[in-house]
Amino acid sequence: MREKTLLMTDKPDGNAEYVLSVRNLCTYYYKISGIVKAVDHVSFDIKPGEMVAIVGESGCGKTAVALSILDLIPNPPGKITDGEILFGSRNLRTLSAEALRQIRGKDIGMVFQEPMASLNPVLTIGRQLSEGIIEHLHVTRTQATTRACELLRKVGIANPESRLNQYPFQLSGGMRQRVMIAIALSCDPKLIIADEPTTALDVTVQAQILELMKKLCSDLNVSFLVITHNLGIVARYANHVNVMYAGRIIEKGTTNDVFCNPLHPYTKALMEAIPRLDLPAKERLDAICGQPPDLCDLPKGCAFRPRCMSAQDICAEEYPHFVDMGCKHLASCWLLKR
Amino acid sequence: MDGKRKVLLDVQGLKMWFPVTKGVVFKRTINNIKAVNNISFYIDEGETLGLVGESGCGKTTTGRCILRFNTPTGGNIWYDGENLNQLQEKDLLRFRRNVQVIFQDPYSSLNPRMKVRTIISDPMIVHKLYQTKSALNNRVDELLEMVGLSTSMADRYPHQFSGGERQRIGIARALSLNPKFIVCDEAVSALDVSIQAQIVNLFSDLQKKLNLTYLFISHDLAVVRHISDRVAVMYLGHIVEIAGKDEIYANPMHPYTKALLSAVAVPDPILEEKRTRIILSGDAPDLRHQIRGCAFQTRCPEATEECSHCAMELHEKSPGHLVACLKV
Repeated sequence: MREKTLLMTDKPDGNAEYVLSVRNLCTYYYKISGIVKAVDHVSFDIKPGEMVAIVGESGCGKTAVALSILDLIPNPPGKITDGEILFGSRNLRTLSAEALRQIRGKDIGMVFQEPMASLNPVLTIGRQLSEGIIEHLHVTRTQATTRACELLRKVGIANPESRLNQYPFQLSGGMRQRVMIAIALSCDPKLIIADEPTTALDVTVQAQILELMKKLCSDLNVSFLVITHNLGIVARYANHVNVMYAGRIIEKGTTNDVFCNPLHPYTKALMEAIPRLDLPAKERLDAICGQPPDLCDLPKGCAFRPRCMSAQDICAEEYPHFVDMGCKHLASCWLLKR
Repeated sequence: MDGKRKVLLDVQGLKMWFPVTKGVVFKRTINNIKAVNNISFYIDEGETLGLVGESGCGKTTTGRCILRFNTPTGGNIWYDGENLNQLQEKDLLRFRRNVQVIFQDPYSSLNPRMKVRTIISDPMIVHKLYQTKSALNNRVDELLEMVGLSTSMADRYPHQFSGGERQRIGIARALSLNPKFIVCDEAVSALDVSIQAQIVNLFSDLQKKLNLTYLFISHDLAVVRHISDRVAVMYLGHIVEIAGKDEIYANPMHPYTKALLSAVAVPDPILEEKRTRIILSGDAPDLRHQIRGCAFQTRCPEATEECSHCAMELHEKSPGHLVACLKV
């Protein structure tokens, strides 16, 4: 029997209800070369039926955020050192391993980047789909198979009955990712975390998968946390976006606000650096000079300062606080005035 | 613009078929995977042709045929007036001085046990370009500077560099023989957005400085538009459309090109809300099975009965704009 989860009331607002509320999350990796602050004081919220994106380049810590929520950080060398992860009324960080196991795969589903690496190559699709259903919903194998068939149909796979007995290698990349989404949906989750769900797929297949996710979001009222480096899909599909750089969220807000009026120099620079199909072709791309920082050796003050065209003296002294520019559009930059 | 350019690369009817065999002791060919199936295009000197398509369309195989990593099953490729089918083993060395390649993965395309200096000087040693070690080292330093790296980096190993820096090393290696033509096979696809922009700019700068000609293979339509002069779209071994870059993005004619462009999301949420999207159903058909007529008909929103008799030949619909579709 599924237990009902109470939705938590957000204390600052008093009225908003969130499916997931991450507060001040810190995940560090303790290596010989130093401490890698993969996730550093990250906070964000997700409402029911919403699609929230975390966007950033490789090494910014976005995957570490996803793994931290589900306690999949390899320990050693990684460790969640601080913060709260509120799922419904419960702080996931205080739960036992057994309690977390009940939530992982049931109330929170996960879709990974490489479907071929995430699916077991020696088990049939039907078996892999049924596994979670039997484990979490305590039904018979026959009932699980019926549900598996329904799920495949829901994710747009034709002739689902024949697919149940097939192996992952017999499916295309797009189909495998649909199976991954079906597995994530199998126990009626409140939230699905999708880590680069379409990066390994062709453009036309990406479009199919994302349209499917959007439809599921609205039809089933499932929230999505989408982690990606693709700003285009964020603009098209996400309600809210969090931009990450060197382990921290540096800008957050609604997709419209962040894209139409980017506040942080990094967000602005990222938008300028992308070749755009919707704008006239430029002679030269406005590249961001330099390299992303080494997370073991972050500069004092703002991590983006060495690459920022608008850096001031204070940027080298102290890390900037978040400034709320209205409508919950925040960015952490010394240049911003409330 | 700048007068009549000469044609540097001319590909006519290129075919690359891989046999599907049955049996272990007595192998017989039951079918062919037509990875590249009768394609034709040309590239002028100093020009960049973008070759776009999704995985499995044959764009990398086309590049490999031009580089002679694969011997084509059929067709002709003329490079600088010389038919590559007639190249002997001894001519390959001369050919390779002029035609070079930059690979996709900066992590696997550099030998991890060689220092950067060795990686870049290797081709020059093979081709016996320099007599003295000091002349060779000077050239290595010059190449490193050309690609925006410091000469002090020459004595380090690949693992000590980031992805973008390793790709610059790959570019320096490709330039070491002073080639005229470079095949860039997904050369920026493995890089982050901010680094991609640096490398794309570097490609443009080098092209102007050294009068290079590029075949730029990519699945990223936005990058291709930025760097190319003309663009060819491939689907399942066929070129379905070729046009100048402004023309093809403003006025795509083939249903597949339209679907491809529609599928690319742009970072403008207001525009995205208004755009009509063409979502293709299903997946690309399996190349192991024979496809009669147009390869795209199984997914094409405009397909009709006559498409199963279509030979997928390119026809000029407007000056410089060729399309392989009965419906256009």
